Amino acid sequence: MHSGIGPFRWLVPALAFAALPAPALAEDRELPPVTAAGTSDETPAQLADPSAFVSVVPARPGEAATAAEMVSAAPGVVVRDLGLNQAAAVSVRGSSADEVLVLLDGMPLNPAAGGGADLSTLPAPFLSRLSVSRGAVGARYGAGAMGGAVLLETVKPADGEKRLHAELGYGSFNSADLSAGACGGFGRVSGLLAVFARKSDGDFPYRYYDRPQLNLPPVVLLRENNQAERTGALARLLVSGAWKFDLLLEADAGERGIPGTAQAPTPNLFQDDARGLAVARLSRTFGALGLEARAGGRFGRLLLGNRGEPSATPQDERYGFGELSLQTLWGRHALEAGTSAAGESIASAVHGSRARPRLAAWGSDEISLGALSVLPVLRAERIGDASGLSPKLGLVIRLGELVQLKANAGQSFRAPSFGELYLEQGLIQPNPDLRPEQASFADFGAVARLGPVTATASGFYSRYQDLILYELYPGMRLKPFNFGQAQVYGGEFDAGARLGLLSLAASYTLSFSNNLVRDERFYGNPLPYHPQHRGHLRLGAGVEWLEGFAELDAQGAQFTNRTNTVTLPARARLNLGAAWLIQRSSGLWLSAGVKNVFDSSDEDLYGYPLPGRALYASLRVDWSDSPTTRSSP
Amino acid sequence: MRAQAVLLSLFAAGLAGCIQSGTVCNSPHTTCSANDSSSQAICVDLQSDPAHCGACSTACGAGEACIGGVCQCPPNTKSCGGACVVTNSDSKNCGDCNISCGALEQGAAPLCQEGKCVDSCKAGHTACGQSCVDLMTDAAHCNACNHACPQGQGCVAGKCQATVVATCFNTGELVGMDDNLVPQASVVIGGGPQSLAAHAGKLLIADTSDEALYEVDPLPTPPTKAAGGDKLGKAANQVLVSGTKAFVINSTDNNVQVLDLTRAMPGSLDNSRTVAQVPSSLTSSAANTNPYFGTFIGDKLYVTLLGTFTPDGAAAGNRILELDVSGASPTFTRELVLDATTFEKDAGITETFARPAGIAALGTKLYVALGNLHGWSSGGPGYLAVTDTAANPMSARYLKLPAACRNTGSVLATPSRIYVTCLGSYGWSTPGEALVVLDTATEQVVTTTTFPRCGANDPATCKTATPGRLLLRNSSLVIADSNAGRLFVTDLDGKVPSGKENGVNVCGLNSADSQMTTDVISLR
Repeated sequence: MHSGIGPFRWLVPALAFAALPAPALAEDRELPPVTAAGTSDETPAQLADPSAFVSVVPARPGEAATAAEMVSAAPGVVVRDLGLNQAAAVSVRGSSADEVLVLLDGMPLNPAAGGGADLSTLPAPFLSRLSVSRGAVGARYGAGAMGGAVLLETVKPADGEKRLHAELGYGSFNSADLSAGACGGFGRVSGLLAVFARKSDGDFPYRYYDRPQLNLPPVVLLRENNQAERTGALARLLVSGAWKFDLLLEADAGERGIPGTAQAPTPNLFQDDARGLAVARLSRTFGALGLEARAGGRFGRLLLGNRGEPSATPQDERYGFGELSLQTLWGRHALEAGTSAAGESIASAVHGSRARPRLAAWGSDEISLGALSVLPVLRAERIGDASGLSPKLGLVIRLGELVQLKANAGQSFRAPSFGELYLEQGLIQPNPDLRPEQASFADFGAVARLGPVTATASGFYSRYQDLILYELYPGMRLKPFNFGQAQVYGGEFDAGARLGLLSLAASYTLSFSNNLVRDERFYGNPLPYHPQHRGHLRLGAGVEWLEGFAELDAQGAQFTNRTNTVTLPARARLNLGAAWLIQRSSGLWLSAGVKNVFDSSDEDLYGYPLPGRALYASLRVDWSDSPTTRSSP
Repeated sequence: MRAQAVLLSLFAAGLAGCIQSGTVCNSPHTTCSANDSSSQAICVDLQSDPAHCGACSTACGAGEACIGGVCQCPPNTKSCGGACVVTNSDSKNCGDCNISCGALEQGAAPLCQEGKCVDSCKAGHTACGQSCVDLMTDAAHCNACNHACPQGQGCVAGKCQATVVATCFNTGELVGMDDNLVPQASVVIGGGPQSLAAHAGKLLIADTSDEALYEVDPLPTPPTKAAGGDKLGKAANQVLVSGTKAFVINSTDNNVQVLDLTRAMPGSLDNSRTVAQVPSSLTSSAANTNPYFGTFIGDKLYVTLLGTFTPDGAAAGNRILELDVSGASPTFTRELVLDATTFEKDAGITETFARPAGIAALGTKLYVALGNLHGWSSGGPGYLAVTDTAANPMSARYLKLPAACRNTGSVLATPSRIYVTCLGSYGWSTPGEALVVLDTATEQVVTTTTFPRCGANDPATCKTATPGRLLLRNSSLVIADSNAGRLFVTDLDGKVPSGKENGVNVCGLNSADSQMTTDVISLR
């Protein structure tokens, strides 16, 4: 029944958190997830869940500065953006940012204080691509993945190849980027070192309606205290052989002004942050038995202060984990079991110190029944005082070589963050009595590859319970309570194609939501900040030395309050760009583009304006000692 | 193929999980069956519905009211022989139980009037049986003998209606009450009702969450919310009425919005009645000014600018604006910048912003409650600013309030007394929830009344009070509890009657158990 499936196939679950793609996966029977412009046939290593609906967004040098700019291309995703240089978090299938697990090569980046991972601090030059796995996929990735998981893969050295990369970009609002990297190796060892630095004044003009009820023309103001600087470095070491070893070291730090809302600007507020992380992985196969051990740690420091005020005290976060997993084949079954232990802590002079352990054990199977595969997974976790089970059942039906049907149903949960439980943060109050949030989901759809076109269409239903929502509390304060319930359902479409000189990537999400809080004011209403329509289209065309693209990003109108009396209008942004190979031998590229061509003036969240039209240009060198390596824009 | 069918069914089942049909009641209300032949599901307030008092279909007896989920005699009545009677006018219990006036046919003081047996009713009163009543104001005989108003309604000009109305922010309720603050069943009016005003027999409700002004007719009771309303700016904190105009103070949007009330209320949420909107400073964005409360003296509107909770934001506030509202659009005339440099501060606090909140006018004088806040962490010792608008330029005197008062909120001024509420410090790190009453002439403190403040060892039924907005009635002061959804009543010197220390519950329950009575007004 396993004919045509190599033994490596059964290592797929083992690689669920691996930092490296598995080369053998390219010959796997699974159709790959759709990638923008079809640039990758590899299944992302962290996405080793054949039944999941996954979208992959490749890194595009020069275009996106951060992971936040990349992720909006994926279906099911809404980026909640505070504007240029500011924090950006992601919602998947109507979840909050807290309910999306963000993993960098398997390392959770969700802050212990809560609020969701800020994708604006993750530099795009460090990423080879990102993937979004949609649904309550906590069984695969761990508690917290209620709406989905965003999986970030860092760049990696090519086998023995020597490459040099450098890029210098400049654009509107005095924004400049510099990144450089080198990789090489000898014998079984290869390594990579990359650095980047970025700065931006962020002083974009925006339209402010000081008399919004009179429909008078707006005044034009300049965004102040919106500057940002960031720098970082990444190193990676791979050792091949019977024992495979992979080490990732990453550190970055930055400072940015916190400009506040248009109504209440904060010209002197600033944020300093720094992060350092290390992830090591060791693996080996013994016949049909695979063994993998991983360990890592993360340190983060965040400081919020006001210039001219006494020095603020920083808040430190630490996260460390160790994990062991085994995989084996047994008849029709591909079995995996694993366990992990982790600890996370947060400390500041204001709040004192909080820490809690995180323990997990999981088991999964992939039962192959001819054209049908059944994939049960169960994960049990304990996080501090909270515990829960995350089960998931997936099905894959292969209809010939071209089409697969997939279905999933599962549950997951999210433990309350330290912030929600314990930290008094300005007007935000904690609530130590909070329970974990719960999510259930089901989805069903098809993946098809027809010649150069790969497409996915799926429908989904997600139900969220015991959601932690904030209620106004005396003294203008907010306090969290477990009273939220909601459902989100709809369809997602994702396609990529390369047709000769043309490439196409498209995604569209039609999503309906209902607030299920038992309150006649809200019951049945669409959730705030949940657009019904979300679409992304990218058309590319070009030859080996010249490429151009047009990219349209659009989302429908959305309500901003629970009673649905206040609406944020629909918006669409068009980006255009081109890249020219100036010198083939050195791999010298010149890229230029325009973002928000029509200079639309929008805000994404309450009072946070987004920038208008912006220009950028970059010069890039991408040299390789391998003549087969294609230098692409 | 079979597997495909299973999967399709699975997804179809998922989509079928759309919202359930049926009646959904908000958290203060409960679903009960109507006490009629229809038995349809209805939303009832078990705390105040006499037909469903404490439990579905538990009806109160004749004359009884449902107060706090318990059937009992209303406050203006007395239980005499098992019946609730109005001893003020009941000839069998005139002045007290079992004091009978003479028989009507015998002619010896057979009528009961104001608790005394009399021979004839005084002018303006009508004899209903042996009771002398004012048909224009008597809730038991409203416009006609024996025409009793339902629970929670008083008699105003011969019509039954709520005479006192309060709003509850977190539950979205509008609660009508009678003269004794006995509530009728509340109605859910919006996402977060914040401020109330009355105009031409209508209630105006500024809803902060909905960014809307709703207008409802308190007749018949309970009031029904019509579709539509006025689109307001962000975080409307107060609505004021002057003549035929409503002035809305949009705190987060930093502006004052003017509505023409002679125009029909919009049938959908729009701006068709908005005739003017001015930023709350001379700068076009008025950033960080955070206008909070206002009051009129003649054709001038005085608005406090609280500022926001950063040093830059606090500096943009810290003043009182004077706007001339005699024309079609308000115009800025002058401002008073407050000086808090000499204010007493908590240890380690260096901030020098007064943070003006509530404001009241008396003659040409303004009384301004100063929060003396530091950021959002502390409500400093409360202060009251006094300024005379007849002077030019205006200048302020600052009255230090007692230590029991921190973070002042609202102020109300009468010729004899000035009332100031104190919200207490944010986070309740330091006590400070109080009412301070000053003598208007001497500006000396007459009374300082503190309110319930619960600690970790108190029973769950204990609710900390946050005294907020004020309402003055004939012989009492009503204080909205902006924490636990209550009203407190004091005499005109600010003293709480014995047995009334825990106030009157008017708002239902919600997840936060913090319903926040945001405003209270009288419709008399």
